[in-house]
This record gives sequence, structure tokens and C-alpha cells, in this order.
Amino acid sequence: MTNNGDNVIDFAVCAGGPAGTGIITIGETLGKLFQRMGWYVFTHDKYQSIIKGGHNAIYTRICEEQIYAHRHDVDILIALDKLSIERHINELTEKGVVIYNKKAVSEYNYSKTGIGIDFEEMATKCGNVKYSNMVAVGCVLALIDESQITLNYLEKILEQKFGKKGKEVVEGNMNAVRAGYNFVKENNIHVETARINPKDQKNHLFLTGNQAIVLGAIKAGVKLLAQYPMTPASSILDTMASYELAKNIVVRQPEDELACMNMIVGAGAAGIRALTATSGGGFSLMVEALGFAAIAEVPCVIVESQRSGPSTGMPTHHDQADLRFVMHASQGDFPRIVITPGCVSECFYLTYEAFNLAEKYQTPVIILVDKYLSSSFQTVDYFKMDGLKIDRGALLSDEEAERVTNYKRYLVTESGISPRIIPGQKNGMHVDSSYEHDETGYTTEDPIERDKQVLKRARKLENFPEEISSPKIYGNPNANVAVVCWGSTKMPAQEAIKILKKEGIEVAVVHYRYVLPFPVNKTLQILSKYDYLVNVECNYSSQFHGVLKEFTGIDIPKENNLNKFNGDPVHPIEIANKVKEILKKKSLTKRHNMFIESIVNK
Amino acid sequence: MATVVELTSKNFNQWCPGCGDFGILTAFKNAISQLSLDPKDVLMVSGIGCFGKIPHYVNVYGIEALHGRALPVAQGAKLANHNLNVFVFLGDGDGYGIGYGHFVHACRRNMDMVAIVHHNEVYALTTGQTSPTSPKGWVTKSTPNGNLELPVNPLATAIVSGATFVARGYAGDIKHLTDLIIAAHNHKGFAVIDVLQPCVSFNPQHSYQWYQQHVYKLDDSNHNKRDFIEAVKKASELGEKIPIGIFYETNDVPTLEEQIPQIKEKPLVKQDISNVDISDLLQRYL
Repeated sequence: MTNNGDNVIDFAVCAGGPAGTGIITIGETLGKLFQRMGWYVFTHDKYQSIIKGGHNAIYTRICEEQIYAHRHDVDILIALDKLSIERHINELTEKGVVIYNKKAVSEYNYSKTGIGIDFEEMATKCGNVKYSNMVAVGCVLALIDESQITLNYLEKILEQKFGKKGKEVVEGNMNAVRAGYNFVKENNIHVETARINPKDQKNHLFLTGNQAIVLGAIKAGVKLLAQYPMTPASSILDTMASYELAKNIVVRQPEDELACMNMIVGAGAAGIRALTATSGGGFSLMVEALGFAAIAEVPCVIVESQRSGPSTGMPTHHDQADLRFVMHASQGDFPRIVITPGCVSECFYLTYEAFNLAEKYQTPVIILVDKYLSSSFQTVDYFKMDGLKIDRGALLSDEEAERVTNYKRYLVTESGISPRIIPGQKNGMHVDSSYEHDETGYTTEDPIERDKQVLKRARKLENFPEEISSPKIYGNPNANVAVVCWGSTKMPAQEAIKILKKEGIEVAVVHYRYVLPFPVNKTLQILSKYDYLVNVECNYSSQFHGVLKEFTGIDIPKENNLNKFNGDPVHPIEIANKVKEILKKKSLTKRHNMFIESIVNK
Repeated sequence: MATVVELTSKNFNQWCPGCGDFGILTAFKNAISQLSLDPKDVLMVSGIGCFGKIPHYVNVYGIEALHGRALPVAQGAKLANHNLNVFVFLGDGDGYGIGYGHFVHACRRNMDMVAIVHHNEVYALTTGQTSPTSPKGWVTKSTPNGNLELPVNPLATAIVSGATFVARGYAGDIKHLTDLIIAAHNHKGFAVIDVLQPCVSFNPQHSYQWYQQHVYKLDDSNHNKRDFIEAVKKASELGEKIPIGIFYETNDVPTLEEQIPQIKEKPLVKQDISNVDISDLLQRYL
């Protein structure tokens, strides 16, 4: 158990074992438990593309103050097999404790304190060998809770989780928890423990990025999800499907991602809000219809949750290397919106916003997340619904359509946005076409008509308000060093702020939630303040930095870039160390001044 | 609700004079008129090929989608508003080549719509390459030494894949084709009409004259369209003569839409989304 230097209790548990043994449930259960007790939790899982066997692990970080990400180290390691000790022993803090499976480890000869326990035997005694993971949960609780108060909370959680399966299952699981708890206590194993107390009840939610995306979409009125399963996006399909009857949403799993994307274009053209979700490989198949949606000006929302590529890559691992891909995918030039939520809350709010923007601008909106954000559970404030308002843009009501004469679907307007009438409404008959077309939708190859339509489409996003797309600043905006990041890297970056603060180093984090349309002016205003910039992203080629440089002339030296692409998210400590390194080296950022002045002075 | 003249759009028709597409267009407008469908409730979805321009020539709603992808687009539109009368137009390359995967799945999905396939045995818009329906040995621009592959059998594929109405028409017999389209529309479920059509520019082998001599009507034989096995056999017939008419029809299979309680009361597009309450869902995450 560590407290992090200013008496804030902050500890992390790693549970590891073969796939199929309920490892992930250990983390989720601990997370839910402490969440209910008013603590802050963050989980982060690491698993292989295997259903049984191999190695799975889940990290659960628990803190009495708000946390934004995982830690690189853990205080308690639950090892259901020997491999888990070998993989994670080096992640243990100095006074960390290992609770290992006695059956799998005949001789414990590691430097850290270890408690051997026969999980399976104990679980079997409680009714089912499957309860092994609950024995493990009990062991963890015994190490951190003298008062048994956690057990009361846990009982309720297990009732909710397993109630449907019957009383026996609930009791069996709870008995397994108690058995683990008592074993650790009775064996008089003393570990330096932190006091765990229930805090005031807070209005918090505990969920993953993918779950927040589903909730945001439902709130935004999504009516169709067409999705082909692909890690790490699959839980969007499963979660939405579980709500389809309650919320009158149709969820379809078509034959492939080509069908998914085409289906949502058809649905969008017929007037509903439709969603698809996938990872990079599936997005590759969707690209064809992405351009179709753009030229036909059909609103649609696509979630792309990145994993390690290229090709099949490392299917269950984290990466941020599809940024350039989603920005440029498809033949031809057209405007699109690329949103990169940075945390679970932003997954909710920005998915909601994505549907409004798709309809307002009648163009595809891509929500780019990644494995880390998609599958990590985070404690967040209860979502605020007050500010949320559905904006269907220029979609005409039946009454408005009735008054229309001489309708032109692709009417050239100053804003580039044309009134929309959908099939079934009066006076709007037209063809939504994948071909270039004139104002009526009829195919054209006339150079003048072509110019008109390309420019009309381009105009739609030319004046996109930078209040929406502006990066957000965290930490100390007046520091002389800023960490630049996009997407989920915000989470470890926010933790890095805390680490550096303890060492007396002030830092700003500048986070991009929108990459297209790129907020050029806001970027120049914000980033020109800092002497030192550190760019952090989970890809090899600093894709975001390339975008930044292209749009603003801000050229962050190679040594100021932190790139990670080994399948793990970047750890907060790695960002903190990079900042210290750059401050020490005094590695300044180049600015192509002429370019900047021409824009800033505009 | 609309006469054939009212259904005819003012867009200039770009097909070659004499193209089989004209017969299909005429039969389609006849059918819509005779069915008294309100044009605003008709949605034509086409793929890409010469035939793909067809929505531009009819005064109804249309989507000219991508090559091979008309079916999933049509399915999305139908799910959004199942009150629409959806007609999908495919080509033999479009529907049976690049889009054959979607075709098979559309059959087993059994949504209530009509798919009309313009089947001319050649890629005409790209000026005459082989098609998945081109007979073995045919010489085309892309097979100067003869086509090495066997043609697909779309009707047998449709029947075994779960389509609930499977027919073949001929673009040169407009009355017969009109009746097929009407029957297909009146059928509840996924209806496929494979329409043989001459390509006057790139398929000299199978001209109007050739078809005239080779097609015969199933109605004139004693074919039982309710018999699955007989239908598959008939669809696999590779004789001198080519049967046209309804090969297979069953009313025993529910449509996809009928099995979706979410749209029982109202189509999705008519459901209010102005303030969706999710507080019940958020409870689960407390």
C-alpha cells in the first residue's frame, strides 16, 4: 500500500491469470466496490486474443481523490498462475504483496512478500471452482480492510450481478470472498495496510469509454447501430444490443463492414441517426462508403477504436496509429470531422455532439478512440443532461416540406449546407448520388457544376467554430512547458501533471479533442505561449505532430516527441520523465514564424 | 396514384438506343403506376453500371449507391422507414460479382423489398469485359482467349440462400416483366427478379432476336413454384430454352421487419428523439 506522498491513499491491484478464469471480473468487481464506497477507480486491462489460456491481466487503481489514469506500478499482485508472477513482479512497489496460486507455484522464491493460497480448492468448497476469482477478491480486501465493511458493500454488488442466476450463485460467490478474506486474516499475515473507509456518497458513474459512447449515442437519438464485431469496438455492439428493446433502437450485425457502413448511409439518407463502430481493419472496408456519404452529403457517425496495426496486428492492444488514416481515407477531397475524445466523459458528450454535427454539416463524423479508452473503466461525474440539445440542422419538417416548390437537394448556398428532405416527405423527390451531381442530384460532368459542388461541400466546414474544436488546457496554463496530446493520451498526461507538481515542476497539458477541422488559430494562440513543447502519442511516426506542423508550422523537435507503440498505453511516469528530460536539455520548439504571423495577424 | 407519364422524369436518358434497360424502366414505371403507389413513398436504390442511372429517370426518391453495395444501403433505408416501398436495382457484375456477398445475406435476411437485376452477361459501362454471368469460353475484352470460369447461378443461389420470391424476367417482354414486378412487390419478403437483357453494344451473342427464340414462360409449363426442390432444379436447368417467370415463392417465412418489435408501432424515422431519457440506463453504472 502506498500513499503518494501527501497522505492521499492511492493503491493499485493487478490480477493476472490465464484467459477464461474470470480475471477481468476481479478488477471490475473491485472497481465497482470502491466506486460504491465513494472512492475513485481506474481500471486498465491487458489481454491476449485468446479465449482460454494465455495471459490476461487487469489493473485496478483505487484512490480517495480523483484519478485520470492507471499507474505503472501496483501494490498487490494476484497471480493465478506462475506466468503472472513472472510478468508482473517487477511492477510491484517496494512493499507490495503477491497473493499467488499455491498449486501453480510450488516454490515461492521471489523477493517480494508472498502469500500462497489454493484458490481452486477454496472455491470448490464454496460450491464451484469458478468462484476462484472471488476468493482472490476476498484476499485483496483482507489486506486493506480490517473492519470488513467492504464485505457489506460487496454483498450488494454480487446480488445485483448474479441475482438472476439464483440465490445459490450469489451466496457461493460471497462465501468464496469470505473464505479468501478469512484465510488472509487467519494466517495472521501482516501487510502495511491503508485504511479504507466509505466516503460520502457521490454522484459518480463507473463505466468504460465504449459504454459511454453507447450512452451518448442513445441520448443523441441513435436509431440504428450496424456493426460487425471487431476488438476493441465489439462491446459497443454488445452493450447497444442489450438496450435495443428498452430504447427502441435497432441493432444489426450485417455480413461485413462494407454492409455496415452502407447500411448507415441508407439509414441516414432515409432520415434517422445511425451509427457504426469498428477498429482500423473494419474501417478499411468502410472507406469506400465513407466517400459515398460525403459526396451524397448523408450524415453518419463512425466510431473507430484503434488497436495495434497494421493488418491484424495485435488485436487486443493499444495504439494511436490510425489518425492519418481516418483523416485522409477515401479517394477525392471532402470535408469531414474527426473527433478524438480524451476520457470516458468526453466519449459521452462528444458522441452526442457528433450526431448533431453530422446532421448540421451533412457529412461523416469519425470518433477516433482506442483500446485503452474503449475498455478502461473510469470513475466520472454523473452526466449532465442540461446543456444537451438535439440539432437536426437543415432537415425539413413534414410541414416545411409541404410548402417547398422546385426542391433542389444540393442547392448551392453560402454556408454550403442545403435543406434536406427525406423519402416519404412531400415535394422532395431527388436522387442521393455517389456520382458528382448538379443541384438537383442529377449526374453531371460539367466543369462549372463540378466546381460549384466541390466548393459548396468544402464551405460547410470552412468556418467551423473553433470554440468547439479548440484544444483544452489542463494543469498550469502559465507553465513554460506544455505536453501536447490527443485522444486517450490525455488521461496519463493529466496524471503526469500531478507527478511533476510533487517535484515542483509546473506543466500544462494541451489536449486535442478535434483534429479535423483543425483549430489553427486557437492552436497558435495557445501553443505560442510555451518555451518547451513535448508531444506524446502512441505511434511510431508522430502522426499528430505532423498534422500540427502542417497546419501551424509548429515544429516540435524529434527528441521532444514521446512515442510508444509496444501495445501498452503510455504511463504517466513516462510523460513526467520526458518533460523533465526536455527541461534539462532545454530543447526548444522551432516555429516557422512567417507562417505563424500570417495567420495570427489575420 | 401516378401515371407512367407523371413518373417519367425530365432527366436526359443516357443509355444506348435499344438498351435492354429501357424495357426494365418501362416495366417498372408500369408496375408503380398499376400498383397505385404514392411516388413519395417509393425509394429506388441502385448500384453502379449502365443500369445504375435508372433512379434518375423516375419521379420517385432514389439513391444511386456504390458498385455492388445497393442492397445494404436499401436495407438501412428500409430499417429507417419500413413504410417505404423499396426497389433495389442491381447489375449482374454489380450484384453477382462484387456484391454477391451482400446478395446472399439479403436473401437470408428476407426484408420486404424487391431486387431487380439487370442481367446482360457483360460489363458494359467499362466497355465490354467478362462478367460472373458470362458463359464459359466467351471472348470479351478481358478474356481475349476465352472465359475460363463457369457462370454463377444467381437464381439457385437466391433460392438456397433464403429468398422468398425468386423470378426471372426478360427485358424484351415488358408486359410479362411488369406483372413480375407487381407480383414481387405484392409478395411479403425479399423478392429477386433476375432480368435477362441484351446489351446492344457489347453482347452481340445474345441479342433480342436470340432471346426471343430461347425464352419460354414457366406459366406455360406445370412448374410448382411452392416446391423448394423443384424450384432449385428448375433454376439449375441448362437447356437450349430459358424459362422466365416465378421459380419459387413461399409465404411461410417472416420478414426481418416483422420480427423487430422496436418498429411495430412506428417506423424509426417517426420516433421522437428530441429528449431521450437515459436515466434508467445510467442507474446501471452507479
